[in-house]
Amino acid sequence: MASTLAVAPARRRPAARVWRERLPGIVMGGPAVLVFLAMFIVPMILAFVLSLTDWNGFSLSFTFIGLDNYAEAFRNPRTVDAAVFTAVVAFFGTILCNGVGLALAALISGSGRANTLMRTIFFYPYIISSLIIGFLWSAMLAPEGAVNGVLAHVGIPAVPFLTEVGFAKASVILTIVWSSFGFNMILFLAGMKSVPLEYYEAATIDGASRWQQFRSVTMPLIAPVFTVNLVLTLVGLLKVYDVVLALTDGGPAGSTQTIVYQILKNSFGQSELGFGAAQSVILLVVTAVLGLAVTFARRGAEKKVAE
Amino acid sequence: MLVNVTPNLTEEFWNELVKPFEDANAGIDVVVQNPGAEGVAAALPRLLTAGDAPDVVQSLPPTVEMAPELVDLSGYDWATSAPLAEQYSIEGKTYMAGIGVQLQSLWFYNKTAFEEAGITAVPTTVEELTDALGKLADAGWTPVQTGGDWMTSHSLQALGLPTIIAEDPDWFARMSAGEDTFSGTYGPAVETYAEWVAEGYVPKDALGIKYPDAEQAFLSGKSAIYPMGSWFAGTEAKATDPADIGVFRAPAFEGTDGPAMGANIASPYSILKSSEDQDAAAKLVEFLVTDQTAVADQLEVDGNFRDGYEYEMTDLGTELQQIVADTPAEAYTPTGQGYGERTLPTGYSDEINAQTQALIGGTPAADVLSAMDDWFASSLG
Amino acid sequence: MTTAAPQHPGATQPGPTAPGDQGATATRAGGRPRPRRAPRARGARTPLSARVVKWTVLGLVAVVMLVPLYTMVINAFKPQEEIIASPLAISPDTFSLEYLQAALTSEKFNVVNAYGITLLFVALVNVFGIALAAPVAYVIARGRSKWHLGLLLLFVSGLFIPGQVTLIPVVFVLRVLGLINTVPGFILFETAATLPVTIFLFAAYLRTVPRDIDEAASLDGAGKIRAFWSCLFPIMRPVVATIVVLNSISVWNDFVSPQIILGPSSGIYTVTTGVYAAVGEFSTDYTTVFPTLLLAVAPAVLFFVLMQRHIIGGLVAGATKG
Repeated sequence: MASTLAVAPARRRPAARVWRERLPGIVMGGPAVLVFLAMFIVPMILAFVLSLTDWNGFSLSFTFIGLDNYAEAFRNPRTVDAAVFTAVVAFFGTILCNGVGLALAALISGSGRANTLMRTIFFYPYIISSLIIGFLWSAMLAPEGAVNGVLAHVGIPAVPFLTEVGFAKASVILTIVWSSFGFNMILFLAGMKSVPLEYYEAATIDGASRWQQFRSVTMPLIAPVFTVNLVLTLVGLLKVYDVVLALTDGGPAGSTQTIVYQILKNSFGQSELGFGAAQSVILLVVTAVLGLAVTFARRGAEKKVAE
Repeated sequence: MLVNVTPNLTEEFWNELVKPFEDANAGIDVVVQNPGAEGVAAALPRLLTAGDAPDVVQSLPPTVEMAPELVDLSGYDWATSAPLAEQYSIEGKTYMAGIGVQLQSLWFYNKTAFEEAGITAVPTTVEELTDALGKLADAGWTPVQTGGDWMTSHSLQALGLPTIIAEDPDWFARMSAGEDTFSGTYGPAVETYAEWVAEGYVPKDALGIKYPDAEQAFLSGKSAIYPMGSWFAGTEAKATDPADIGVFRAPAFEGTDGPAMGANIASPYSILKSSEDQDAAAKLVEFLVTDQTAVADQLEVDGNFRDGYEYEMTDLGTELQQIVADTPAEAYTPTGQGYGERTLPTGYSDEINAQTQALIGGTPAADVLSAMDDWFASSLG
Repeated sequence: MTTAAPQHPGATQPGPTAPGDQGATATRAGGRPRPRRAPRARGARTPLSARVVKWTVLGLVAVVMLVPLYTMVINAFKPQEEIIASPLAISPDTFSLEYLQAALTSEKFNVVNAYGITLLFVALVNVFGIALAAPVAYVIARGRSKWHLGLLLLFVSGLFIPGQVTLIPVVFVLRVLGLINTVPGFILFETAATLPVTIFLFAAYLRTVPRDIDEAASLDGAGKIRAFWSCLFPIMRPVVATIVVLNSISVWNDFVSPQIILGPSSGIYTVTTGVYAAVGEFSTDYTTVFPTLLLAVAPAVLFFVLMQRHIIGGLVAGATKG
């Protein structure tokens, strides 16, 4: 595969020499390729093969059942609910993380200690594991949790944040936004800081207000950052799991189960490995298609700016 | 050995339990494995998948699916003569040995609450039970203590199964064959439950309560009725200063003869075929299910029962023993997903639990019934 | 992972980019004068009322961000009834270290051990990931044939494969290799998971390094490999720093992979799987929850506060490069 490194152009070389020149490339590239094949490509092929079987994960025998698992994935009400909820999380999560992130980035884009302090405060949950974020907010939002405790002091009855379907769904989304908009904000900040000051000066001379400047100078110039933010958030939210496990454990009434929650539950908890694999393949395809679609759609928007 | 670790069955308990066995068999070292929060039922398939299965598994009754992975114990007397061995057999083979019987269809009640509400006799039909709940609510009590997680559906099953199985002993088989529908059999129970929710007998905020909290709340006298398995008696026996608690068998709807009683094998042990030392594993299981002290200790700690293995019982234990004595063998039925050859499709326990939570969340009974029908249709597909 | 992990810069076009770990995106640092950035030193011109509104909004958001942290800290020192009755207050009467002590010595979750193990994992994955990725990135960056492009595409495709999706079949691959439930198996998987981003960023960076450097340094055969590690790798320091930040955060916070690859029989708990085992089903016993979470979170947060400039810089560079 890997051929030569920085070779001087040469005609017809003896085979031994060709191999001698290729050897370093193979030695340098080989291990990474092997590891990648073993941990990514082989498992992916395996997932696809498994998805066509009814294997339970431990029996010595299994049968190929064609596309039955895929049909089941589209028919099983639990799976469909999980897919819908995942889509809702991805959609609102992407909008909110980026909306809040962009707004706050615009407010603290200046230099100075206060801005740096705010940046740190808004961002810190990002470095905490989602699982721990989930447990923390579950303690905050539980029926006897901190938030309801405070509400009780002001005479407001307990809010069923985690125990009523609608509230629980919103709680999951807002917990995700709380913990990760900081990352989007940081990227927007970086984008804003790379806009040359001259552009703003020119706009000011033209009499543009702060809002106009933001719309016509900042926004177009950070379009590439916007794309990165959208794709990263979307792709990340499609596989959300840890926070749900800790916050609601999929409940109440299974209403906050996500696709990955279903995959892991079906594969290991219920020994329906083939079914879990089929869901995995579907998620993989959806993630790739959506990720690429957003990238290409945004590339159009970015080009317009460049003109 | 992979065991369940619960508030009753602590790791210390397990280590103490197997110590005499280790002392008597110098060559065998018993390692107790705690599956952590996911529990044995979820951990075992994963461990099997990973090729890392334990030698002995506790608390997991054999299923048709699992049977090929388990050692056939039919050749051992101590296995075939153990409680419920026949009910749990698969194609005539015994794959497990248990220590006793665990009753499921029970309602524990707070005697003080019943007095305050003016209830003089325990309910013997669902209708009487509903009346009693109303009186309890009027007297200012939280009538039914339930909770989130896995325990939500316990109450619905205690309400439904005594009638359903009494009327149709082959319910499990017929559901799995698609001959019966959920709405056609569980309908009255689900509707009654929805009514309880609407009346506030089952509090809406129950879903935020975890199992240990629910248990604690009932023990300390904060609620009136607690649907739970007989192992609760074990908890009660250990509690300091518990409320005055009694128990009655889960009643059936009016006009049902011989209500069924959900019962599980208590602490079944199985040996995995993948075990490299099946003889030692068999010795360990034999010890665990026949040794007087070991069995009595296990029965006591979880409030289970078995003839000939007496231990010091509380009043509550004696009441339960009476229920056991009054229940004919054929009235015993599996609960949840079932066992032996009486099983429902994989995932039933989770699904009924999720749907019970939906009921508590205010979903109408009709929607829950049709969701369950859809689930069965797609699972049997 | 809840968040858009920064592991997916696949959205952007690969191409030559600026070395350097600051948050710059559009600039090429190749010695050209940098355009002035916009520090917006125009606060003085903003009317006072607008500034009041702005800082009120920021202050409110800051409170929302900090209250959970505050709650976690103070409630780690209080009994259960006190936590439920007055979650936001702390009184010297009930203040106690016993809960923290209990969490520290809990049988289910040995915090100190978990920290050591997780740190070890972070270090090993970083070392192996970089050792594997740097040479192959070099081969890709310097290659001209369609093979090299193919190789790059192969690795970049990994950016779109959610880790949880491959985890199930990975269990079987590891089982065949005899590495399931072992530290090497876990390290192998985590290392592989870091390869796509690492190779992508390294290759992009190396393309900006002039070829004369390696041509001058290299002779042939084994010399090339040595030349790479001794002459080129040191030049890659900024991008290596970025990768270390990215990989460390993702390994430290990973929960699903250690939970599944390192089962209970391995007896190995990372910070996340340990918290799950300790808090799991007893998540309403707040005298366990808050101290355990505090112990799990505190060092990471302190480290972040101290190193935040570098961490944020590294993340930004990682996510927007290219």
